[in-house]
Amino acid sequence: MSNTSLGKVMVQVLETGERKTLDEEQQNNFYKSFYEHTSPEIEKIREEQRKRFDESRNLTLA
Amino acid sequence: MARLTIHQIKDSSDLHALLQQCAAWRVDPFAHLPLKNSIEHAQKAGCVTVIKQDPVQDPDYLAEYLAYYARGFLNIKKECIRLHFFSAPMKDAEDVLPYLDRISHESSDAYLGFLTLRPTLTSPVGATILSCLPSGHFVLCIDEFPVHLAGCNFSVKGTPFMQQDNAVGACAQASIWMALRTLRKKQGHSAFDPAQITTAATRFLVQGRTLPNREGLNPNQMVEAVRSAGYASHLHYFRNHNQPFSPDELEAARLWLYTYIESEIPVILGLFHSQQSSGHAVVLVGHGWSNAKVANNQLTTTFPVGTTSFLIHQAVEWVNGFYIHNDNTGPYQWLADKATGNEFSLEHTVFALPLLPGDVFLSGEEAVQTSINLYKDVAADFVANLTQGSPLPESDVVFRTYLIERHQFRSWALRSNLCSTVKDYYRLKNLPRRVWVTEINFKADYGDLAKLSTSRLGEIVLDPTGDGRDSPFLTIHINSAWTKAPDGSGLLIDRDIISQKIDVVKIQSDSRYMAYTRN
Repeated sequence: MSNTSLGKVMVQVLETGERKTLDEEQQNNFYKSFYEHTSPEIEKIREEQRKRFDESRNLTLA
Repeated sequence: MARLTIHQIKDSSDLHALLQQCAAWRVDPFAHLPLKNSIEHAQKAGCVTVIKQDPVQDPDYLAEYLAYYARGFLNIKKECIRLHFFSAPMKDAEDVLPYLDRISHESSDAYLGFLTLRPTLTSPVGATILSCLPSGHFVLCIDEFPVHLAGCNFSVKGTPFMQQDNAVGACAQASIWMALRTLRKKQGHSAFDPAQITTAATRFLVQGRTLPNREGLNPNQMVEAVRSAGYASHLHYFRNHNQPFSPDELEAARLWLYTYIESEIPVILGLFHSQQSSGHAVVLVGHGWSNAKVANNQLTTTFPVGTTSFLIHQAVEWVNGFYIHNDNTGPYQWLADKATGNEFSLEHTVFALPLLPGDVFLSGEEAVQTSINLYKDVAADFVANLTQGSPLPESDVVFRTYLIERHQFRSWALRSNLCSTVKDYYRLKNLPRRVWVTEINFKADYGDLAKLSTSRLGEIVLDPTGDGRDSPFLTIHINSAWTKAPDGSGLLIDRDIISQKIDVVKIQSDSRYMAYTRN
C-alpha cells in the first residue's frame, strides 16, 4: 500500500485551507507506489482471461 | 380491409382470441413461451386496448425474408402483423382513428409498446418493444423509441426484444440484435438486422451452415459481429465451463455484470448446463434490489488503517438478481443467482460480452480494482498523517462503479445537492467523452432507496482511455462526512490532464449528497 506524501498534503490542506500542488518527487512517489501494488493485480485479471480463452474453444450457442 | 383495427381487452382470453385470429397456428399461440410471456408482460403493464396493424412490412423480418425465405419454392408471406398495446380504455363503439386522436392528445403515456408477429409460425415473435414494468426493478439498458400510428406520435421506453428465427439466426443472433438495437441511438453505431449479424459473425470463421443457421454461433463469431458493429471485442470468461462456480467466483461475476448494467450497457451472456459445450445466449438488461444486503461479504474489501480496519462494500451486495431478455422465454425475465429445476440461472454463465464502446480502454473490472486501490492509498496515507486525537475518517463505505457519458455526469452534478464548489468544478473540468465514476457511499441504510439523496461521501473519477495499472484518475473527492473535519470541510484531489500535476483543495461546507439517479 502507498506510503507517499499525498496524505500529508491532504492533512495540511485541511488544516490550513491553502491549496497545494504535489511537488515532482511527491507526485512521482504517488504514481510509482500505485503502479507497484496495482500492476500485479491487474495483470492477474488479464492472465486469468488468457487462460480461459484457451479452455473455451469448442463452445457454441444455438 | 382496414389496416388498423381496435380491440377491447378485458382479460387474457381476449388477447388469446385476438392472437387466434392473426394466423392459422399449428399449436396454441400461448404454447410459444416468448409470445405468451410478452403478452402477459403487456397485460401486467395495464393493457386494456390493442390496435392491430395488418399488414406491416417489418424491416428486420424483411431482411430475414430476403436472405432466406424468398429463396424457398413454397410461397411464404413477407408481411407481418403488429399489435400495439395501450393502457387507456376505448369508449363504447369507438373506432380506431378517433381513439388514436384522443389518446395521443389526452394520455400519450398510455402507449405500452408493440409486438410484431412474423408469418413464420414456429418462431412468431419478431421485433418487439414493450415498456418496462413501472416499479420494483432497475431495467437500465433501455431507450425511448418513437412510434407513429395513422399520423399520431407515440413513444415507448424499453429494451427491444426478438425471438430467434431459427433459419437466419439462433439465440446468439437474437441476443446480439437486442443488444445492438438497444444502443443504436445512444452510441450511433450500426444496428444490424438478423441476416447482417449472421453475415458479420461468419465473415472470417465458419462452422456448419450459415443458411439456415441452426447451429448458432461460437463466442468468437459473436465477438466478431459485435466488433464489426463498432463495439469493443471484450469477451470475458468467468469460469471453465466444465467446473461450477465457487461461491467467491459467483459473487465476483455478479460484481462484474453489475458494473456494466449500471453503465446502461447490455451484456450478452453465454449460459451452459453442466458438461455441455452447446449453450444458450441471453441479454442482461437490468437488476433487482433488496433493502437488506443479500451477499455474504465475499466482495467486501477489508484493509488495515493504523490500528483499525476500513471496509469497502460493493453496491451489488444489495442486488438480489438480474433481468434478462431471453429469446426462448420472453422479455424482462428474472435470472436468479441459483438454479431451481432445469431453468437457467446466473450460475450457468460461462462468459459475458458487454457492448462496451470501442474507445473505452479501461474495462469495468479494471476500473473497480483501480478505484479500490486508489481509495486504500488515500485513506491509509491520510490517516497515517493525522495529528493525534483527530477523528478518524468514515471507515465503512459502499462503492458503486459505472461508466457515464460526460454530459450525463455534468447534468447529474447540476441537478444534485452537491456543494456548489464541487458542482462548478465538475461542470467546468475538462473531461473525456465518458468517465468511470466510483461513488463512495455511506454504508448505514445503504439499501434504503429513500435515503439515496444523502448517501454519498465522495467519488473517484477515472479516465476510461487510461491504463488501470497507471493510476488513471482525474478527480478524487471526499466530503466532510468522510474526513470528519470539525469545520465541515471536504477535500478534492485534482489531476491536471496536461501536466499530470496533482492539486489538493479544501472544500468548505461539503456535506453528504445524492447518489446518481436517473431522471
